Amino acid sequence: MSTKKIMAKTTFYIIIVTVLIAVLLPFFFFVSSSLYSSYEVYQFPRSFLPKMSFDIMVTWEDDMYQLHVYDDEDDFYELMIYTSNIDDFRIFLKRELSIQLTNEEIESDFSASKTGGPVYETYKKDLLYNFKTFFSITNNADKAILNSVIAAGWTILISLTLGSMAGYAVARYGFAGKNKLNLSLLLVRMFPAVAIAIPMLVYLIKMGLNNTMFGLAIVYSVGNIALTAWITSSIFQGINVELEEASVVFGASRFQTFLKITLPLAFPGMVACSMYAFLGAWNDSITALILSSNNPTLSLLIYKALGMSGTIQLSAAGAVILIIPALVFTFIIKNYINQLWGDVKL
Amino acid sequence: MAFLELMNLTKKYQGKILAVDNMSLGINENEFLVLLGPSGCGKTTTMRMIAGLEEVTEGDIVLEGKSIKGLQPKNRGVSMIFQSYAVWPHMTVYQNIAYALKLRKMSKEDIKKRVQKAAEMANITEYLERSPNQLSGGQRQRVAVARALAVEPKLFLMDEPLSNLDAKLRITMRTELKKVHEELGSTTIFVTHDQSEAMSLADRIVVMNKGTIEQIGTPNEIYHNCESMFVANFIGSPPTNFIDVTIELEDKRVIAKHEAFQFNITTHIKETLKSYEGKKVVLGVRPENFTVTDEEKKLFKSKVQFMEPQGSHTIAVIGLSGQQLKIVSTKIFDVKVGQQLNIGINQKYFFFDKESGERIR
Ligand SMILES: Nc1ncnc2c1ncn2[C@@H]1O[C@H](COP(=O)(O)OP(=O)(O)OP(=O)(O)O)[C@@H](O)[C@H]1O
Ligand SMILES: [Mg+2]
Repeated sequence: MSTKKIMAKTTFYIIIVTVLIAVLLPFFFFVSSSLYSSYEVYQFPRSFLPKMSFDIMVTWEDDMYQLHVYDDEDDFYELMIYTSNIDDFRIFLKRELSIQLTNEEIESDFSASKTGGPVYETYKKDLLYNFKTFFSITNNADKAILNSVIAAGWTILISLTLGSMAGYAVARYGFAGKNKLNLSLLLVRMFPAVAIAIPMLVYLIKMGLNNTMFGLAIVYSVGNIALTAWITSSIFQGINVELEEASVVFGASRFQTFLKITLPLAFPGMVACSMYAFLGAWNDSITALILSSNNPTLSLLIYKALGMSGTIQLSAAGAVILIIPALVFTFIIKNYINQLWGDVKL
Repeated sequence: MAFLELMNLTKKYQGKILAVDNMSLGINENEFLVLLGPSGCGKTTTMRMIAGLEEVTEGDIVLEGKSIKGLQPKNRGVSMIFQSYAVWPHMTVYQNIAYALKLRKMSKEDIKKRVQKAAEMANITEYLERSPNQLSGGQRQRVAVARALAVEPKLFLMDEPLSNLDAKLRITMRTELKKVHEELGSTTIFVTHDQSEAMSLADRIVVMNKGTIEQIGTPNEIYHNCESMFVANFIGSPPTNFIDVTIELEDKRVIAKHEAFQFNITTHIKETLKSYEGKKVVLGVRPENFTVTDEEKKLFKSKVQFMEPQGSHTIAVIGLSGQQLKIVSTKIFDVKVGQQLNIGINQKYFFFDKESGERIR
């Protein structure tokens, strides 16, 4: 291999790795943060990976239990709390260390220290503690998840139906002002969502659709219809017209042809296209805040929760909850994504 | 009235691009008609109007005595084979062939029988369950043929169906198409710009140019009895040689005079040519109608500029007063470039009017 080739390869991999790090690092940060306990978050330096368990030492002095947590950075047991009230220990263990124990368990574990000197214990951390907390402090999280799914579903349906029709017209029929239409489709995309949301609120209230997911989906679709039209028109252009003409000659109507020939051929591309609609609807919180604050979507709920709690690990848990369905959706349609790069010929 | 009648058919795209210009043509039942012409002459447009894929601007299309101009494509009883095959990639071969039959609400058993029969004719019974993506170009073409056969149409339209195949397969497929045509006696319109394909398939050839018909005739008529300079030039490879000559009358003789030669016209055309006295006309001679001869019978002497050996015959490019002529001979194989040849001419020559390009008869 020549030096030049090696250089080129090295550069290539450096770029790839950099991109991967840039993409994955925030993701890693969120996931690991969501698994920290409160105690870990405020430690400095913070451990790279979340702990699975804590080593603690309990001593008995002045008629009180004294709880120490092992600090592996400095290799000593740090005194955290001393009290005679078992309830306080339970709450401390739960809030600060994400360890879920009952008063009885604490009593029986700790009591040996009264006679036999320091008691050493290793307690398992409840890794999902932040997620549980998230659901308990936001009392309607499950409703919000459902809302998000519904809003995303409607958005996909509306923007794909209308967008693909427009895309088909642009791809197949010549009409006056076609190029201008093409451009104006993208112009819609340039309006900030908020700018559309406020006037839309007026309309939605008039139609009684404010605080409904359908109403929200209509607003999400505004930008997406344009994008979908833009993308699908290139997909339709990639489908040989003769395939449709053959169908017409062999006995189908235009509409049958669209359903039986065009749509199945465009389907993979359209699925890929639905990702934009999905992500647009799924990740938005600003528009939802304006249009549907009484009936929040998941992303709005998380947005609000962040404001209320303000702890990093809880926000991280919210972010992960938001990411997971999006990942699942992307995973389902992953086989179709390549269609967006236009590597299909029909 | 013919089986299919095109009456003053005209097509203007976007109101201004004249693609087919006042074309009239009758096609007989069971006939294999080939539309032949250079690129852009309106062959595809004509086909598409017959199929109903393109609106007719003016004129009428009459099939079996009834106008089909206003009918939906599906109600015209025609089937078509497309240049790109247009085999649907998301259906199996069987589904492709059955598509039209299902739309006609035929029963399952009938569909099966028809598909089977069509597949047998097109020789694809073993691929019925395959997806078209797993077929070669030639096999896809057969699927397109089977699909067209299955609907048992009144009329077959084929738009350059062989042009995407390699040279060898083209010849095989064309023999098969001819065989299918002979078995079914189906009325067929076939579009091509390949003259050898046209010659070997057609009962009659329609030579088109710029949206109009130049000549209609059997392959032999088209070749040996050209109506115009366009046809003489388009048909035949190498094409007809054109030489400007002046007609002169001497006593009772009619003479074609060129600065390098002159000859006495003895065929019946002599009488017509008399009216061209003193005028220039175009002499058209097919390459094989020049002869390489001896000193006495020669018309003129000429130097060989290039030799193009073809195996069975040789094409020689010779010069004549600054013009190049191509001659075809089966006798001269050992002639060198630069050598002088004695060139004669046999009587199968044409004369064309210099202005209109029409044949003088
Ligand atoms: N949809 C269209 N819009 C405008 N002009 C067209 C359209 N289709 C064809 N034409 C024009 O009409 C003329 C005839 O086209 P047509 O496709 O019938 O030619 P053709 O004989 O089939 O040529 P080829 O051998 O290249 O297929 C051409 O000049 C072409 O540019
Ligand atoms: Mg064509």
